[in-house]
Amino acid sequence: MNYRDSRRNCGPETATPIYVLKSPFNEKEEFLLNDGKRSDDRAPLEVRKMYFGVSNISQAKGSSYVELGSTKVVCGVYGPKEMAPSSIFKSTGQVLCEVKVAPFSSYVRRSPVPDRQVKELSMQVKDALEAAIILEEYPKAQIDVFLTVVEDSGGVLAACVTAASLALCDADIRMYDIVVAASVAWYNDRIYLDPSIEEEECIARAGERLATSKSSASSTEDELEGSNGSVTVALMPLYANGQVATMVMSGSVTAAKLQDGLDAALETCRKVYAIAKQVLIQRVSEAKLPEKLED
Amino acid sequence: MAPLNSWEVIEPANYFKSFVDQSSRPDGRDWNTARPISVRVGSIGTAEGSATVRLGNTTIVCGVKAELCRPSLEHPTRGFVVPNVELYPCCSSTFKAGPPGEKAISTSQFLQRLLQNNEIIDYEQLCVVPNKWAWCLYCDILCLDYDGNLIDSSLLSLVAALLHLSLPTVNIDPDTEALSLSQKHTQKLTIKERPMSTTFAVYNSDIQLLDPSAADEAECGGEVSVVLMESGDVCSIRKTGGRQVSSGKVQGFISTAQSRLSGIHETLKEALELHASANRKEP
Repeated sequence: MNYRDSRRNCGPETATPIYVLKSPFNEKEEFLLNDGKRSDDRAPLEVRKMYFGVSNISQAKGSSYVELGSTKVVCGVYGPKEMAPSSIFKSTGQVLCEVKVAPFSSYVRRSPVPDRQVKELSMQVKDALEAAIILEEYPKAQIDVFLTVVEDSGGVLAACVTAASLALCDADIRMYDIVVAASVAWYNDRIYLDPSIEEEECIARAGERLATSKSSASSTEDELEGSNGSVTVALMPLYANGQVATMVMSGSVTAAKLQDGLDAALETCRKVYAIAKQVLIQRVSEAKLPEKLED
Repeated sequence: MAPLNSWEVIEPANYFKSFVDQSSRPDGRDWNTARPISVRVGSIGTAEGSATVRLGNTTIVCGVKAELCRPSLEHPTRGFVVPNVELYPCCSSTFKAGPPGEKAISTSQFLQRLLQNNEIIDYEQLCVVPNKWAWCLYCDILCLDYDGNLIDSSLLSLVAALLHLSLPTVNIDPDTEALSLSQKHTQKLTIKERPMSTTFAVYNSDIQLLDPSAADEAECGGEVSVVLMESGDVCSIRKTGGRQVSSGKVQGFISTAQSRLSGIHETLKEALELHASANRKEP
């Protein structure tokens, strides 16, 4: 940490993370191994195992737990409650979305103080949810959505959006549709679904190499031909024939490849949607009927 | 989501008293029954040591990250262990977003004092090269669901995570003084003692509730925590809050805590063995 946080126990002023001295990933530049599978034994168009659970936080109005491979996200929804009195009058509801990333969630320890990346993640999730919640039904009210990323192994934005939607459904908040998200990566002109953290880092390194090679005006483009990038798409599949709630893309991708990748992402979203719907239906059928209020 | 109970909302004190008058509590337990404990280690792949503890509904995750640093000038042969408790608003509506509040800070301080003043961790083992390199273990304790009794669950998760922790071995090139770390993490930490705590919420000077839930804590004013070593020796006793406790009760707290010890240590050992055997099966 660069400054002394007076509210937390601080360690020594400077400390070197283990993974500066040795990388947790093999720093190879190929996604595909010899047998055509990725480093975690998946096919290029195969997503990781997913697990969704709802109503796991006893204190929250609605809550959910999402696992995408090893990425684990917990979400708690509180509200709708009265908005802070100092705010100006709004005839529609407000969504407060905050993502907290645990310090131990990535290979290099993150500072407990939210940095810009985490704040951007919060904003992106909020944008997706504002498109989905029927805010007109909650005037002067505030809906709090709190997400905690317990482990980050790639696909964090997708996991957060899906977790937030499931928790909102569990909290009986009125929505147009469940928003589900999926991520897709392009590397050397091939499309890969649901990139893991290793693959995301690899794409980031490729992007840096591209940036430095272009700035040094050298023309060795043999390594970096083709598209390198990633996109996360949040979709509401059944509302008005499919509406994209939010889309975050980075990298450099040719126009033709872009369309293919987006189609793959949207298709994955629809599959995730089916699983999410299943989980919610099961939850409703298991829930006990409310006890009759005695007069 | 629990059904709304109007009396609980309108008159919480009297609602709670109606249970206490029948030697019971809203969640159905009597005053001296603790909730079931479950421990799992190794849940977080990115952390060097991790543990998840559930006390009833209260869910705590502790992750330990290790970093290399220079030892301090006052203690050139000791490493660092830095515990921090984080209570995010995700886990309960009583916590606000922003920097850690009183509860998180006081629990972090309690854990740090416990680790510093007692023979629990061998700090000299954490030093790699005196005056040059030492391990700094950041233990971040996260609450995912807060249903009371933060002290017991966070201490148990901290001890379990430190027992699970494995560090890479450090090799120093004698000529260049460059560090290199082994690929596999095999070095385990020597934990000399395993402290376990038992917490009672203070309802009044005669009635204290073992292992309080969030509903119990809301109606009680303060808590008593007894920390014991595995042998039953008292490591620390702490009483907080504004309500009084009869002095004759203190021995009773220690006895109750001692009677719970074997069960908790058993659960912890089972969790560690389960994890070890699962690892052995994998090549």
